[in-house]
Amino acid sequence: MNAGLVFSDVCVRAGSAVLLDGVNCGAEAGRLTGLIGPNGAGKSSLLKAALALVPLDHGSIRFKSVDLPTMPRRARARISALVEQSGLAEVHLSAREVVQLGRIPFQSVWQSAPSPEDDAAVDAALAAVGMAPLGARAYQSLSGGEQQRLHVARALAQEPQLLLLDEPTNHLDIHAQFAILELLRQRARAGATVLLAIHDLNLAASFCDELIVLAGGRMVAQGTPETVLTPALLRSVYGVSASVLTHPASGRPLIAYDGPVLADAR
Amino acid sequence: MSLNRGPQRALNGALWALLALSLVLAVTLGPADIAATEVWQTIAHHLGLPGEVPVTRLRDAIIWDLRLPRVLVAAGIGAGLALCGAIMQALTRNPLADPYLLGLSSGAALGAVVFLLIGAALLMPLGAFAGAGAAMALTLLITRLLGGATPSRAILSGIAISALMSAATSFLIFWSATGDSYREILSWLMGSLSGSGWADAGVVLAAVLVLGVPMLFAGRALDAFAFGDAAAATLGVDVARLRWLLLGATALLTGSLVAVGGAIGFVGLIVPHVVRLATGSRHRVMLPVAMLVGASFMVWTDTAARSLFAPRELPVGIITALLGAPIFLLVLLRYRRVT
Repeated sequence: MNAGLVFSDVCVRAGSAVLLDGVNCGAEAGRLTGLIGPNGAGKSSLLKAALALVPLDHGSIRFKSVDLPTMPRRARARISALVEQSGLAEVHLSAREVVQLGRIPFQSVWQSAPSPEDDAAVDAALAAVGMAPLGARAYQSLSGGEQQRLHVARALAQEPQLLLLDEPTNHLDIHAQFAILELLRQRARAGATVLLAIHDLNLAASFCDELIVLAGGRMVAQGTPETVLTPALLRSVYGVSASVLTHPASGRPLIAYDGPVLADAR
Repeated sequence: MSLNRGPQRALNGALWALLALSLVLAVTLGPADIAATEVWQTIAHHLGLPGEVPVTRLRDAIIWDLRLPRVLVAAGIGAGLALCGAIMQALTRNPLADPYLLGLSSGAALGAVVFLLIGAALLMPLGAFAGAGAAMALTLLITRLLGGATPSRAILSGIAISALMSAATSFLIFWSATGDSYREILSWLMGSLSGSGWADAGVVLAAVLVLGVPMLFAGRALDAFAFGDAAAATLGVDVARLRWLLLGATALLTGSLVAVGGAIGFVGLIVPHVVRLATGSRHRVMLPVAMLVGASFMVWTDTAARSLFAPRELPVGIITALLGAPIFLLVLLRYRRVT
């Protein structure tokens, strides 16, 4: 697993609350890895810890054998990017300017305008998310889904070897969700390490090569969707009873939910 | 909404020309009739350049000792306040932020009033500077006690400190000020550049050069704040260090400006908003333009303050507020249409 991102015994605390408790898992280069688990499982904390946005209490996070949280910031920003869960932001930038933010780690303080390489990276990123014609639009005038795609483009403009995404398919219609996940799968195939937190288990099952399951700050399971997504795991982690079928076309797992499991039956 | 390299240079060139023209024209305006050529000749003479024999000693004194330092003070204060406002708005991600947000002006006012009342009117600028510094330190201390410099915490503690300092100022004025000192305090509280000399110009211009110009290089890092601290951090910005450095520098710069010109409101609030409509929000482009526009704006408002009701002089803060409030509303409406 040295080729990718490796979490070893990662503990993160916020005050007295334990957010992550001895998490061991990893995401390999060239594969699309999904991070699943109920709300509050620690998915966001794990992604943030990798980029030193929350301090590690214990353990280490290495990417290609380099300790990621202790790396110099700018150097880290040139190999990794994070797409956060989008919130409301009053931003008076054009779509293209938002994507240009991704070039900040590559620009010197003396540089007053984007370099040709910056422009090329921004063009490529906008085209990759299908937003090239909307570059001149004001960020505020875009729909939630378009804004989300723009954030992915901003991350792509960083040309990251490690791409972390916190629920990038939120707010998107099903077509746009497929488009983003297909794009991420291509990035992974091209050699990037891609780790994304995702709520929709059927989407995760059909796109991800590998799944990591977190619950209550602990790693519960890691493996291919076929090995991880079992009725027993869905029952114990999510408290739902479900049948796991096989998609007739793709052969991937397909979850048919029966309903919640009552507390005393768990 | 953004400018490319060519138009960006042209805009900066045009604004520098406008500022130079404003400085000279503002010197010619006033009770004594002075021509623009006389201004150039006097400046050239004092700078030791060869040229025409300069004007009479009296006119020389009016130009060189009275009007020139004053327009330079105005330009420096305008540039500095506009820059501080733009930086505070970016750092706090709050469009209402201006240099006085963190309690700076009320702290400066308190310091100035204390020095005035203990009979040290000449040291009033020093009191203002100390007061602004103390207010900033208190605000940052409280922010830290609240758990770190987030935008809303800094603003909330600034408001608390501001209210406390204003109450203390009002109390002091109510308790002990008499006719003359009351008038002097009031004029200072509203902001006035009357009586500015070369020493003041030196303080203001040095502060703008030493504290303001280096802040221009934070432009790109400030852009990274558009989507918050975490986004900035993943773009390689040392968020905590940059925030403390810039807050500290804006406090020192504002302290120096307030010490000389008093509490001149609205410049730091509106100039960045107006400029953003023309240049877009990228700080690397926007900050220098804001400084130039702020400088010209302040030169003209101060000229208006001293000539509209001549020989009586208005505190320039009244003019900036009179112009500033409606402009601010127009800018808000324009933003609504754009977004």
